[in-house]
Amino acid sequence: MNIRRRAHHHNVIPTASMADIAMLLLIFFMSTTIIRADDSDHVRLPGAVSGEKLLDETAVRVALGSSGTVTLNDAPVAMDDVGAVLGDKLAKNPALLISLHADASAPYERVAYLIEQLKAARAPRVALAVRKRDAR
Amino acid sequence: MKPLRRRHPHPEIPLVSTADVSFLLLIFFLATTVFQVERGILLGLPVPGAPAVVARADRVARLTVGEDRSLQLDGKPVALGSLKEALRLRLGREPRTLVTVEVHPRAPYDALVQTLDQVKLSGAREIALRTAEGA
Repeated sequence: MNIRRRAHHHNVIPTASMADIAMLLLIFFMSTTIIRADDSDHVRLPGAVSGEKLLDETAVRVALGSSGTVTLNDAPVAMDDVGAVLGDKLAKNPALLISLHADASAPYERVAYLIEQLKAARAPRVALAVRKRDAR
Repeated sequence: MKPLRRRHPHPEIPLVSTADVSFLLLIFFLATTVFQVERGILLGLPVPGAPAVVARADRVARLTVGEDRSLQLDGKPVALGSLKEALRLRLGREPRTLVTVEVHPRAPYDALVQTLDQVKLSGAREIALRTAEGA
């Protein structure tokens, strides 16, 4: 009777392509990372506990700085023109989400004026952007 | 005399450490990347020309925010910390209470957000935002 020889397999994890995978991941992170200074437009958002996550990537960001400057997706715009500019955008995409980033110290009358413009532009979805604050 | 042989070395860029360098960079990006998620309080704005919402007086909780951030609920002063409980009591009696928030034009925007935050946390679902006269 022949005794079969047991084959001894060497269990080795192939690591030859590790460098290629690392390179691919590196390229992904390098191309998707945006190094952004939070205070670029001098907006300090108010904190809130009940803020919901805004997952709409196409949202238009309307920022109101403490000095009264208004930017629309980081491009400066006159406060009186916000409604007209947004009206054009909403005509193309009626379900557009408008994210209002107003500085915590901005007087409410300026924010109210912006909200009135959003109302006139028939913006159906508006979010008051906040930073997350833990419940006390 | 023996002529000297010229050496022709093959010029090469050493690539042995490329994998290590890319790994180090990868770890750096993995450790420093923050996928930023925006947060916000969602509002549904009325369409221009839409009829005004009419509610019974006993169903309305009138909340006013003063220039100095002071709060009043139906004309009575209330602290921001106790607003949530005060509204919860009110909602317990009348679950369909409409909370109207009226903010002084010169009050800081932060005061509005803090108040709206407490109103939302109280469980109120019908909230209306008003601007004080003269805004």
